Amino acid sequence: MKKVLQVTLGILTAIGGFVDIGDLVANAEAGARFRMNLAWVVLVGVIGIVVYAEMAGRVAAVSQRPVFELVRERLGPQAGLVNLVASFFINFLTLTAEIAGVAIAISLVASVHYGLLLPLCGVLVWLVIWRMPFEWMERVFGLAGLALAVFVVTVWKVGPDWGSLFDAAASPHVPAGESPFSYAYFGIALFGAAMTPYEVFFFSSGAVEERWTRRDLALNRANVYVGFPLGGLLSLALMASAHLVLAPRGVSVDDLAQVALPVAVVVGKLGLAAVLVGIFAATFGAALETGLSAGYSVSQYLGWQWGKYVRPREASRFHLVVVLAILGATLFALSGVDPVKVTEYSIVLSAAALPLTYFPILVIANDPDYMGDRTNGRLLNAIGFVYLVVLVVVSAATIPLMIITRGGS
Amino acid sequence: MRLRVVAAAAVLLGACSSHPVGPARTFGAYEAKAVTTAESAVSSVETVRLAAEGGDDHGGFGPYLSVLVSDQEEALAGAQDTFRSIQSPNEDGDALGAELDEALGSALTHVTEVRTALRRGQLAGLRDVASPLVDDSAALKRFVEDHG
Repeated sequence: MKKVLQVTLGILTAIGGFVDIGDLVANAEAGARFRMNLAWVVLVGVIGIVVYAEMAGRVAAVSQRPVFELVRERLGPQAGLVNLVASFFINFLTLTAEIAGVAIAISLVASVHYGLLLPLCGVLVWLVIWRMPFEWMERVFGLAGLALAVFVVTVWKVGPDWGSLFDAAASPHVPAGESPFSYAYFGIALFGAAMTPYEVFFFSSGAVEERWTRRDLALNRANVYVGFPLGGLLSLALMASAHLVLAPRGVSVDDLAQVALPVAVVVGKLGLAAVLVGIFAATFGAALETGLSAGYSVSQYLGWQWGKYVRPREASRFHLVVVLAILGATLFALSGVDPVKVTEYSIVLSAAALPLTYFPILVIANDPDYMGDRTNGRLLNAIGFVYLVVLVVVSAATIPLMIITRGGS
Repeated sequence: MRLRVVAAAAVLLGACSSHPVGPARTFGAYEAKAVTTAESAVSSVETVRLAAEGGDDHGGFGPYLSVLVSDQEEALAGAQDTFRSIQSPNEDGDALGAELDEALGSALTHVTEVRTALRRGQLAGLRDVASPLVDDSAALKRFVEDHG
Protein backbone atom coordinates (compact mmCIF):
# COMPACT_ATOMS: atom_id res chain seq x y z
CA MET A 1 0.00 0.00 0.00
CA LYS A 2 2.85 2.34 0.94
CA LYS A 3 4.50 1.55 -2.40
CA VAL A 4 1.29 2.35 -4.33
CA LEU A 5 0.99 5.64 -2.48
CA GLN A 6 4.61 6.45 -3.24
CA VAL A 7 4.14 5.69 -6.95
CA THR A 8 0.90 7.73 -7.10
CA LEU A 9 2.56 10.65 -5.36
CA GLY A 10 5.52 10.37 -7.72
CA ILE A 11 3.22 10.44 -10.75
CA LEU A 12 1.26 13.44 -9.47
CA THR A 13 4.53 15.23 -8.75
CA ALA A 14 5.80 14.45 -12.23
CA ILE A 15 2.60 15.83 -13.81
CA GLY A 16 2.68 19.02 -11.78
CA GLY A 17 6.42 19.44 -12.21
CA PHE A 18 6.40 18.90 -15.98
CA VAL A 19 5.37 22.43 -16.92
CA ASP A 20 7.79 25.33 -16.46
CA ILE A 21 7.94 28.89 -17.78
CA GLY A 22 9.17 27.63 -21.16
CA ASP A 23 6.11 25.41 -21.56
CA LEU A 24 3.79 28.15 -20.30
CA VAL A 25 5.07 30.74 -22.74
CA ALA A 26 5.74 28.51 -25.75
CA ASN A 27 2.39 26.69 -25.63
CA ALA A 28 0.34 29.85 -25.09
CA GLU A 29 2.24 31.70 -27.85
CA ALA A 30 1.86 28.79 -30.24
CA GLY A 31 -1.86 28.40 -29.49
CA ALA A 32 -2.56 32.12 -29.93
CA ARG A 33 -0.55 32.43 -33.12
CA PHE A 34 -0.65 29.01 -34.81
CA ARG A 35 -3.80 27.65 -33.14
CA MET A 36 -3.57 23.82 -32.85
CA ASN A 37 -1.29 23.45 -35.85
CA LEU A 38 1.74 22.80 -33.67
CA ALA A 39 0.06 20.39 -31.23
CA TRP A 40 1.88 17.48 -32.90
CA VAL A 41 5.21 18.95 -31.78
CA VAL A 42 4.15 18.68 -28.13
CA LEU A 43 3.37 15.02 -28.74
CA VAL A 44 6.74 14.41 -30.41
CA GLY A 45 8.52 16.30 -27.61
CA VAL A 46 6.76 14.39 -24.86
CA ILE A 47 7.64 11.01 -26.42
CA GLY A 48 11.25 12.20 -26.70
CA ILE A 49 11.53 13.31 -23.09
CA VAL A 50 9.80 10.11 -21.93
CA VAL A 51 12.30 7.92 -23.83
CA TYR A 52 15.39 9.78 -22.65
CA ALA A 53 14.27 10.57 -19.09
CA GLU A 54 13.53 6.87 -18.59
CA MET A 55 17.06 6.08 -19.78
CA ALA A 56 18.58 8.76 -17.51
CA GLY A 57 16.58 7.54 -14.48
CA ARG A 58 17.52 3.92 -15.21
CA VAL A 59 21.21 4.81 -15.60
CA ALA A 60 21.11 6.61 -12.22
CA ALA A 61 19.19 3.81 -10.47
CA VAL A 62 21.40 1.01 -11.80
CA SER A 63 24.80 2.68 -11.60
CA GLN A 64 23.85 4.92 -8.66
CA ARG A 65 25.77 7.67 -10.39
CA PRO A 66 24.34 10.69 -12.18
CA VAL A 67 24.49 11.12 -15.93
CA PHE A 68 26.94 14.06 -15.98
CA GLU A 69 29.57 12.16 -14.03
CA LEU A 70 29.29 9.21 -16.40
CA VAL A 71 29.39 11.45 -19.49
CA ARG A 72 32.78 12.79 -18.44
CA GLU A 73 34.07 9.32 -17.60
CA ARG A 74 32.71 7.62 -20.72
CA LEU A 75 33.29 10.32 -23.36
CA GLY A 76 36.34 12.01 -21.88
CA PRO A 77 36.94 15.43 -20.32
CA GLN A 78 36.86 17.40 -23.59
CA ALA A 79 33.49 16.14 -24.81
CA GLY A 80 32.24 16.46 -21.24
CA LEU A 81 33.43 20.07 -21.09
CA VAL A 82 31.60 21.02 -24.30
CA ASN A 83 28.50 19.42 -22.83
CA LEU A 84 29.02 21.23 -19.52
CA VAL A 85 29.52 24.70 -21.05
CA ALA A 86 26.48 24.42 -23.35
CA SER A 87 24.23 22.97 -20.65
CA PHE A 88 25.35 25.47 -18.02
CA PHE A 89 24.74 28.45 -20.30
CA ILE A 90 21.24 27.29 -21.27
CA ASN A 91 20.49 26.33 -17.69
CA PHE A 92 21.53 29.83 -16.60
CA LEU A 93 19.14 31.45 -19.09
CA THR A 94 16.37 29.11 -17.93
CA LEU A 95 17.09 29.93 -14.27
CA THR A 96 16.87 33.65 -15.10
CA ALA A 97 13.52 33.14 -16.81
CA GLU A 98 12.17 31.00 -13.94
CA ILE A 99 13.15 33.52 -11.24
CA ALA A 100 11.56 36.29 -13.30
CA GLY A 101 8.50 34.04 -13.69
CA VAL A 102 8.22 33.67 -9.90
CA ALA A 103 8.45 37.45 -9.50
CA ILE A 104 5.83 38.03 -12.19
CA ALA A 105 3.47 35.47 -10.60
CA ILE A 106 3.74 37.29 -7.25
CA SER A 107 3.39 40.69 -8.92
CA LEU A 108 0.08 39.61 -10.45
CA VAL A 109 -1.31 39.19 -6.95
CA ALA A 110 0.57 41.97 -5.18
CA SER A 111 0.20 44.54 -7.98
CA VAL A 112 3.83 45.57 -7.57
CA HIS A 113 6.29 45.78 -10.47
CA TYR A 114 8.01 42.42 -10.75
CA GLY A 115 11.44 44.04 -10.87
CA LEU A 116 11.08 45.05 -7.24
CA LEU A 117 10.35 41.45 -6.28
CA LEU A 118 13.29 39.88 -8.10
CA PRO A 119 15.84 40.12 -5.23
CA LEU A 120 13.31 38.67 -2.79
CA CYS A 121 12.57 35.80 -5.20
CA GLY A 122 16.27 35.05 -5.66
CA VAL A 123 16.71 34.85 -1.88
CA LEU A 124 13.59 32.70 -1.51
CA VAL A 125 14.81 30.23 -4.13
CA TRP A 126 18.17 29.96 -2.40
CA LEU A 127 16.56 29.58 1.06
CA VAL A 128 14.31 26.75 -0.09
CA ILE A 129 17.25 24.97 -1.75
CA TRP A 130 19.31 25.44 1.40
CA ARG A 131 16.71 24.47 3.99
CA MET A 132 13.97 22.30 2.52
CA PRO A 133 14.54 18.53 2.27
CA PHE A 134 14.84 17.30 -1.32
CA GLU A 135 11.73 15.12 -1.26
CA TRP A 136 9.59 17.89 0.23
CA MET A 137 10.88 20.39 -2.28
CA GLU A 138 9.94 18.14 -5.17
CA ARG A 139 6.54 17.18 -3.77
CA VAL A 140 5.33 20.60 -2.56
CA PHE A 141 5.96 22.41 -5.83
CA GLY A 142 5.12 19.45 -8.06
CA LEU A 143 1.75 18.94 -6.38
CA ALA A 144 0.96 22.68 -6.28
CA GLY A 145 1.78 22.76 -10.00
CA LEU A 146 -1.23 20.48 -10.50
CA ALA A 147 -3.32 23.64 -10.10
CA LEU A 148 -2.46 24.24 -13.77
CA ALA A 149 -5.04 21.54 -14.52
CA VAL A 150 -7.41 24.54 -14.49
CA PHE A 151 -6.41 24.94 -18.15
CA VAL A 152 -8.14 21.61 -18.82
CA VAL A 153 -11.23 22.97 -17.01
CA THR A 154 -11.03 26.12 -19.13
CA VAL A 155 -11.04 24.17 -22.38
CA TRP A 156 -13.91 22.02 -21.14
CA LYS A 157 -15.90 25.10 -20.03
CA VAL A 158 -15.42 26.82 -23.38
CA GLY A 159 -17.18 23.74 -24.76
CA PRO A 160 -15.46 23.53 -28.11
CA ASP A 161 -16.52 21.24 -30.89
CA TRP A 162 -14.20 18.43 -29.85
CA GLY A 163 -14.21 16.88 -33.30
CA SER A 164 -12.99 20.04 -34.98
CA LEU A 165 -10.50 20.67 -32.19
CA PHE A 166 -9.05 17.21 -32.78
CA ASP A 167 -9.15 17.71 -36.55
CA ALA A 168 -7.29 21.02 -36.18
CA ALA A 169 -4.58 19.24 -34.22
CA ALA A 170 -4.50 16.20 -36.52
CA SER A 171 -4.24 18.08 -39.81
CA PRO A 172 -1.51 20.63 -39.21
CA HIS A 173 -0.68 23.33 -41.73
CA VAL A 174 0.99 26.72 -41.82
CA PRO A 175 -1.78 29.26 -41.06
CA ALA A 176 -2.46 32.07 -43.52
CA GLY A 177 -0.27 35.09 -42.89
CA GLU A 178 2.50 33.04 -41.31
CA SER A 179 5.67 31.94 -43.06
CA PRO A 180 6.88 28.32 -43.00
CA PHE A 181 10.04 29.61 -41.31
CA SER A 182 8.09 31.10 -38.38
CA TYR A 183 6.09 27.88 -38.15
CA ALA A 184 9.31 25.84 -38.00
CA TYR A 185 10.87 28.26 -35.50
CA PHE A 186 7.94 27.97 -33.10
CA GLY A 187 7.91 24.21 -33.63
CA ILE A 188 11.52 24.11 -32.50
CA ALA A 189 10.70 26.32 -29.50
CA LEU A 190 7.96 23.90 -28.43
CA PHE A 191 10.24 20.91 -28.95
CA GLY A 192 13.00 22.60 -26.93
CA ALA A 193 10.52 23.43 -24.16
CA ALA A 194 9.42 19.80 -23.92
CA MET A 195 12.95 18.38 -23.99
CA THR A 196 14.82 21.00 -21.91
CA PRO A 197 18.20 19.47 -20.93
CA TYR A 198 18.00 20.41 -17.25
CA GLU A 199 15.01 18.09 -16.90
CA VAL A 200 17.11 14.96 -17.44
CA PHE A 201 20.08 16.20 -15.44
CA PHE A 202 17.80 17.05 -12.54
CA PHE A 203 15.86 13.81 -12.91
CA SER A 204 18.99 11.65 -12.80
CA SER A 205 20.67 13.66 -10.03
CA GLY A 206 17.41 13.56 -8.07
CA ALA A 207 17.35 9.78 -8.43
CA VAL A 208 20.83 9.63 -6.90
CA GLU A 209 19.83 12.10 -4.15
CA GLU A 210 16.85 9.89 -3.30
CA ARG A 211 19.11 6.84 -3.37
CA TRP A 212 17.23 4.96 -6.06
CA THR A 213 18.32 1.39 -6.70
CA ARG A 214 17.24 -1.29 -9.17
CA ARG A 215 14.16 -1.79 -6.97
CA ASP A 216 13.03 1.73 -7.89
CA LEU A 217 12.97 1.08 -11.63
CA ALA A 218 9.18 0.59 -11.50
CA LEU A 219 8.85 4.02 -9.87
CA ASN A 220 11.06 5.46 -12.60
CA ARG A 221 8.85 3.95 -15.30
CA ALA A 222 5.61 5.10 -13.60
CA ASN A 223 6.88 8.68 -13.22
CA VAL A 224 8.07 8.83 -16.79
CA TYR A 225 5.49 6.77 -18.68
CA VAL A 226 2.43 8.09 -16.82
CA GLY A 227 3.43 11.37 -15.19
CA PHE A 228 5.20 13.00 -18.12
CA PRO A 229 2.49 12.31 -20.74
CA LEU A 230 -0.15 13.65 -18.37
CA GLY A 231 2.08 16.70 -17.86
CA GLY A 232 2.16 16.98 -21.66
CA LEU A 233 -1.64 17.01 -21.58
CA LEU A 234 -1.45 20.18 -19.45
CA SER A 235 0.75 21.71 -22.17
CA LEU A 236 -1.84 20.84 -24.81
CA ALA A 237 -4.64 22.29 -22.66
CA LEU A 238 -2.65 25.50 -22.37
CA MET A 239 -2.27 25.63 -26.14
CA ALA A 240 -5.95 24.81 -26.69
CA SER A 241 -7.14 27.50 -24.28
CA ALA A 242 -5.04 30.12 -26.11
CA HIS A 243 -6.36 28.79 -29.43
CA LEU A 244 -9.97 29.03 -28.25
CA VAL A 245 -9.89 32.32 -26.35
CA LEU A 246 -6.95 34.44 -27.52
CA ALA A 247 -6.50 33.54 -31.20
CA PRO A 248 -10.02 34.53 -32.35
CA ARG A 249 -9.42 38.02 -30.90
CA GLY A 250 -6.00 38.46 -32.53
CA VAL A 251 -4.16 38.44 -29.20
CA SER A 252 -0.53 37.39 -29.33
CA VAL A 253 1.15 36.36 -26.09
CA ASP A 254 3.94 38.75 -25.12
CA ASP A 255 3.88 38.49 -21.34
CA LEU A 256 3.17 35.93 -18.66
CA ALA A 257 0.00 37.67 -17.46
CA GLN A 258 -1.64 36.98 -20.83
CA VAL A 259 -1.07 33.24 -20.36
CA ALA A 260 -3.59 33.27 -17.49
CA LEU A 261 -6.15 35.40 -19.35
CA PRO A 262 -8.20 32.55 -20.91
CA VAL A 263 -8.72 31.09 -17.43
CA ALA A 264 -9.68 34.49 -15.96
CA VAL A 265 -12.22 35.11 -18.71
CA VAL A 266 -13.75 31.62 -18.84
CA VAL A 267 -13.54 30.22 -15.30
CA GLY A 268 -13.49 33.40 -13.23
CA LYS A 269 -11.97 34.33 -9.90
CA LEU A 270 -11.46 30.85 -8.51
CA GLY A 271 -9.87 29.67 -11.75
CA LEU A 272 -7.61 32.68 -11.81
CA ALA A 273 -6.50 32.00 -8.24
CA ALA A 274 -5.72 28.40 -9.23
CA VAL A 275 -3.76 29.40 -12.34
CA LEU A 276 -1.71 31.96 -10.41
CA VAL A 277 -0.86 29.34 -7.78
CA GLY A 278 0.02 26.95 -10.62
CA ILE A 279 2.26 29.47 -12.39
CA PHE A 280 3.99 30.31 -9.11
CA ALA A 281 4.54 26.64 -8.28
CA ALA A 282 5.67 25.73 -11.80
CA THR A 283 8.20 28.55 -12.03
CA PHE A 284 9.39 28.25 -8.43
CA GLY A 285 9.78 24.48 -8.74
CA ALA A 286 11.70 24.89 -11.98
CA ALA A 287 13.87 27.64 -10.43
CA LEU A 288 14.82 25.15 -7.71
CA GLU A 289 15.56 22.48 -10.30
CA THR A 290 17.66 24.75 -12.52
CA GLY A 291 19.45 26.27 -9.51
CA LEU A 292 20.36 22.81 -8.28
CA SER A 293 21.20 21.64 -11.81
CA ALA A 294 23.84 24.39 -12.03
CA GLY A 295 25.53 22.93 -8.96
CA TYR A 296 25.00 19.33 -10.07
CA SER A 297 26.53 19.77 -13.53
CA VAL A 298 29.66 21.64 -12.44
CA SER A 299 30.28 19.46 -9.37
CA GLN A 300 29.71 16.21 -11.20
CA TYR A 301 32.01 17.23 -14.04
CA LEU A 302 34.80 18.36 -11.70
CA GLY A 303 34.33 15.41 -9.34
CA TRP A 304 33.39 17.52 -6.32
CA GLN A 305 31.22 16.32 -3.46
CA TRP A 306 27.64 17.33 -4.28
CA GLY A 307 24.03 16.96 -3.21
CA LYS A 308 21.48 18.14 -0.70
CA TYR A 309 21.89 15.06 1.46
CA VAL A 310 25.57 15.79 1.95
CA ARG A 311 26.39 18.21 4.76
CA PRO A 312 26.89 21.72 3.32
CA ARG A 313 30.37 21.86 4.84
CA GLU A 314 31.34 18.77 2.87
CA ALA A 315 29.75 20.02 -0.36
CA SER A 316 30.67 23.68 0.00
CA ARG A 317 31.77 24.11 -3.64
CA PHE A 318 28.48 22.62 -4.86
CA HIS A 319 26.52 25.09 -2.73
CA LEU A 320 28.77 27.97 -3.83
CA VAL A 321 28.00 27.24 -7.50
CA VAL A 322 24.27 27.13 -6.70
CA VAL A 323 24.42 30.47 -4.85
CA LEU A 324 26.47 32.13 -7.60
CA ALA A 325 24.13 30.83 -10.31
CA ILE A 326 21.08 32.18 -8.46
CA LEU A 327 22.81 35.50 -7.79
CA GLY A 328 23.94 35.83 -11.41
CA ALA A 329 20.50 34.94 -12.76
CA THR A 330 18.80 37.41 -10.43
CA LEU A 331 21.19 40.20 -11.47
CA PHE A 332 20.67 39.34 -15.14
CA ALA A 333 16.89 39.49 -14.67
CA LEU A 334 17.31 42.82 -12.84
CA SER A 335 19.24 44.25 -15.80
CA GLY A 336 15.89 44.78 -17.49
CA VAL A 337 15.91 41.93 -20.00
CA ASP A 338 12.47 40.88 -21.20
CA PRO A 339 11.66 37.65 -19.28
CA VAL A 340 9.55 36.30 -22.15
CA LYS A 341 12.38 36.89 -24.63
CA VAL A 342 14.86 35.20 -22.26
CA THR A 343 12.47 32.27 -22.01
CA GLU A 344 12.11 32.07 -25.79
CA TYR A 345 15.86 32.17 -26.36
CA SER A 346 16.52 29.64 -23.59
CA ILE A 347 14.17 27.07 -25.10
CA VAL A 348 15.31 27.68 -28.66
CA LEU A 349 18.98 27.46 -27.69
CA SER A 350 18.10 24.35 -25.69
CA ALA A 351 16.95 22.86 -28.95
CA ALA A 352 20.29 23.74 -30.55
CA ALA A 353 22.18 21.92 -27.79
CA LEU A 354 19.91 18.89 -27.48
CA PRO A 355 22.22 16.34 -29.18
CA LEU A 356 24.99 17.23 -26.70
CA THR A 357 22.69 16.22 -23.85
CA TYR A 358 20.96 13.20 -25.26
CA PHE A 359 23.65 11.45 -27.31
CA PRO A 360 25.79 10.60 -24.23
CA ILE A 361 22.73 9.26 -22.41
CA LEU A 362 22.03 6.89 -25.31
CA VAL A 363 25.65 5.74 -25.29
CA ILE A 364 25.77 5.09 -21.54
CA ALA A 365 22.35 3.39 -21.47
CA ASN A 366 23.82 0.85 -23.92
CA ASP A 367 27.05 0.24 -22.04
CA PRO A 368 26.94 -3.06 -20.10
CA ASP A 369 29.89 -1.92 -17.98
CA TYR A 370 27.58 0.59 -16.33
CA MET A 371 24.19 -0.98 -16.90
CA GLY A 372 24.82 -4.73 -16.51
CA ASP A 373 21.71 -6.50 -17.82
CA ARG A 374 19.68 -3.26 -17.85
CA THR A 375 20.91 -1.87 -21.16
CA ASN A 376 18.42 -0.59 -23.72
CA GLY A 377 16.32 -3.05 -25.68
CA ARG A 378 16.16 -2.98 -29.48
CA LEU A 379 12.90 -1.05 -29.68
CA LEU A 380 14.10 1.61 -27.25
CA ASN A 381 17.37 1.93 -29.15
CA ALA A 382 15.50 2.29 -32.43
CA ILE A 383 13.30 5.06 -31.00
CA GLY A 384 16.29 6.65 -29.30
CA PHE A 385 18.26 6.63 -32.56
CA VAL A 386 15.39 8.13 -34.58
CA TYR A 387 15.11 10.88 -31.99
CA LEU A 388 18.82 11.48 -32.13
CA VAL A 389 18.55 12.11 -35.88
CA VAL A 390 15.62 14.48 -35.24
CA LEU A 391 17.65 16.25 -32.55
CA VAL A 392 20.59 16.76 -34.92
CA VAL A 393 18.31 18.16 -37.66
CA VAL A 394 16.58 20.46 -35.15
CA SER A 395 19.92 21.55 -33.75
CA ALA A 396 21.28 22.41 -37.21
CA ALA A 397 18.15 24.35 -38.17
CA THR A 398 17.80 26.39 -34.97
CA ILE A 399 20.27 29.26 -35.49
CA PRO A 400 19.47 29.83 -39.20
CA LEU A 401 15.75 29.93 -38.36
CA MET A 402 16.41 32.30 -35.50
CA ILE A 403 18.13 34.69 -37.91
CA ILE A 404 15.63 34.32 -40.77
CA THR A 405 12.60 34.92 -38.53
CA ARG A 406 14.32 37.56 -36.36
CA GLY A 407 13.68 35.52 -33.27
CA GLY A 408 10.17 34.51 -34.30
CA SER A 409 8.87 38.08 -34.53
CA MET B 1 39.71 34.78 -33.46
CA ARG B 2 38.12 36.38 -30.39
CA LEU B 3 37.17 39.41 -32.49
CA ARG B 4 35.44 37.15 -35.00
CA VAL B 5 33.42 35.46 -32.26
CA VAL B 6 32.34 38.84 -30.86
CA ALA B 7 31.45 40.09 -34.34
CA ALA B 8 29.45 36.93 -35.08
CA ALA B 9 27.60 37.25 -31.76
CA ALA B 10 26.81 40.91 -32.50
CA VAL B 11 25.49 40.05 -35.96
CA LEU B 12 23.40 37.22 -34.51
CA LEU B 13 21.92 39.42 -31.79
CA GLY B 14 21.20 42.19 -34.28
CA ALA B 15 19.57 39.78 -36.68
CA CYS B 16 17.37 38.29 -33.99
CA SER B 17 16.14 41.49 -32.37
CA SER B 18 12.54 42.33 -33.12
CA HIS B 19 10.98 45.78 -33.75
CA PRO B 20 14.08 47.26 -35.32
CA VAL B 21 14.09 51.04 -35.19
CA GLY B 22 15.58 52.82 -38.16
CA PRO B 23 14.72 54.67 -41.30
CA ALA B 24 12.41 53.03 -43.82
CA ARG B 25 13.94 53.89 -47.18
CA THR B 26 10.89 52.96 -49.26
CA PHE B 27 7.15 53.35 -48.79
CA GLY B 28 6.79 49.55 -48.87
CA ALA B 29 9.20 49.11 -45.98
CA TYR B 30 7.49 51.89 -44.02
CA GLU B 31 4.09 50.35 -44.67
CA ALA B 32 5.31 46.94 -43.51
CA LYS B 33 6.54 48.44 -40.24
CA ALA B 34 3.20 50.23 -39.84
CA VAL B 35 1.30 46.97 -40.29
CA THR B 36 3.49 45.17 -37.74
CA THR B 37 2.84 48.00 -35.27
CA ALA B 38 -0.91 47.88 -35.92
CA GLU B 39 -0.99 44.09 -35.43
CA SER B 40 0.81 44.43 -32.13
CA ALA B 41 -1.65 47.19 -31.12
CA VAL B 42 -4.63 44.97 -31.98
CA SER B 43 -3.22 42.36 -29.62
CA SER B 44 -2.92 44.90 -26.77
CA VAL B 45 -6.38 46.36 -27.36
CA GLU B 46 -8.05 42.95 -27.52
CA THR B 47 -6.20 41.82 -24.39
CA VAL B 48 -7.61 44.82 -22.52
CA ARG B 49 -11.10 44.13 -23.89
CA LEU B 50 -10.91 40.51 -22.73
CA ALA B 51 -9.65 41.64 -19.32
CA ALA B 52 -12.54 44.11 -19.03
CA GLU B 53 -15.07 41.44 -19.99
CA GLY B 54 -13.58 39.01 -17.46
CA GLY B 55 -13.57 41.67 -14.74
CA ASP B 56 -17.15 42.66 -15.41
CA ASP B 57 -18.52 39.11 -15.71
CA HIS B 58 -16.74 37.49 -12.79
CA GLY B 59 -16.02 40.35 -10.40
CA GLY B 60 -12.44 39.91 -11.58
CA PHE B 61 -9.30 39.87 -9.58
CA GLY B 62 -8.31 43.52 -9.36
CA PRO B 63 -4.54 43.31 -8.88
CA TYR B 64 -4.13 40.81 -11.73
CA LEU B 65 -6.26 42.80 -14.16
CA SER B 66 -4.54 45.99 -13.12
CA VAL B 67 -1.06 44.60 -13.90
CA LEU B 68 -2.29 43.03 -17.13
CA VAL B 69 -3.85 46.26 -18.40
CA SER B 70 -0.88 48.37 -17.28
CA ASP B 71 1.44 46.07 -19.23
CA GLN B 72 -0.69 46.45 -22.34
CA GLU B 73 -0.83 50.22 -21.92
CA GLU B 74 2.95 50.25 -21.71
CA ALA B 75 3.24 47.98 -24.77
CA LEU B 76 0.87 50.18 -26.76
CA ALA B 77 2.70 53.37 -25.81
CA GLY B 78 5.99 51.66 -26.66
CA ALA B 79 4.69 50.59 -30.07
CA GLN B 80 3.51 54.13 -30.78
CA ASP B 81 6.83 55.67 -29.71
CA THR B 82 8.80 53.14 -31.74
CA PHE B 83 6.73 53.81 -34.85
CA ARG B 84 7.01 57.58 -34.42
CA SER B 85 10.78 57.23 -34.34
CA ILE B 86 10.78 55.71 -37.84
CA GLN B 87 11.30 58.38 -40.45
CA SER B 88 8.72 58.42 -43.22
CA PRO B 89 10.24 58.16 -46.72
CA ASN B 90 7.75 60.45 -48.56
CA GLU B 91 4.38 62.23 -48.38
CA ASP B 92 2.40 59.03 -48.81
CA GLY B 93 4.28 57.74 -45.82
CA ASP B 94 3.41 60.89 -43.85
CA ALA B 95 -0.31 60.29 -44.49
CA LEU B 96 -0.03 56.63 -43.56
CA GLY B 97 1.91 57.47 -40.41
CA ALA B 98 -0.68 60.06 -39.38
CA GLU B 99 -3.52 57.58 -39.91
CA LEU B 100 -1.86 54.95 -37.74
CA ASP B 101 -0.78 57.46 -35.12
CA GLU B 102 -4.36 58.63 -34.71
CA ALA B 103 -5.63 55.07 -34.33
CA LEU B 104 -2.92 54.27 -31.79
CA GLY B 105 -3.55 57.48 -29.87
CA SER B 106 -7.25 56.77 -29.60
CA ALA B 107 -6.62 53.20 -28.43
CA LEU B 108 -4.09 54.37 -25.88
CA THR B 109 -6.52 56.91 -24.43
CA HIS B 110 -9.20 54.28 -24.00
CA VAL B 111 -6.82 51.72 -22.52
CA THR B 112 -5.73 54.34 -20.00
CA GLU B 113 -9.40 54.84 -19.06
CA VAL B 114 -9.76 51.11 -18.38
CA ARG B 115 -6.58 51.10 -16.31
CA THR B 116 -7.82 54.08 -14.29
CA ALA B 117 -11.17 52.39 -13.63
CA LEU B 118 -9.34 49.30 -12.44
CA ARG B 119 -7.11 51.30 -10.12
CA ARG B 120 -10.27 52.79 -8.62
CA GLY B 121 -11.71 49.33 -8.13
CA GLN B 122 -14.59 49.95 -10.55
CA LEU B 123 -14.93 46.38 -11.78
CA ALA B 124 -18.68 46.52 -12.33
CA GLY B 125 -19.32 48.37 -15.56
CA LEU B 126 -15.77 47.76 -16.79
CA ARG B 127 -17.17 46.42 -20.03
CA ASP B 128 -18.80 49.81 -20.66
CA VAL B 129 -15.58 51.66 -19.91
CA ALA B 130 -13.83 49.42 -22.44
CA SER B 131 -16.56 49.70 -25.08
CA PRO B 132 -14.78 52.41 -27.18
CA LEU B 133 -11.99 49.88 -27.69
CA VAL B 134 -14.31 47.95 -30.03
CA ASP B 135 -14.03 50.77 -32.57
CA ASP B 136 -10.30 51.18 -31.93
CA SER B 137 -9.75 47.51 -32.57
CA ALA B 138 -11.87 47.60 -35.73
CA ALA B 139 -9.93 50.62 -37.03
CA LEU B 140 -6.59 48.94 -36.40
CA LYS B 141 -7.74 45.69 -38.02
CA ARG B 142 -8.97 47.62 -41.03
CA PHE B 143 -5.59 49.31 -41.24
CA VAL B 144 -3.88 45.90 -41.25
CA GLU B 145 -6.23 44.63 -43.97
CA ASP B 146 -5.81 47.73 -46.13
CA HIS B 147 -2.05 47.83 -45.94
CA GLY B 148 -1.07 44.24 -45.16
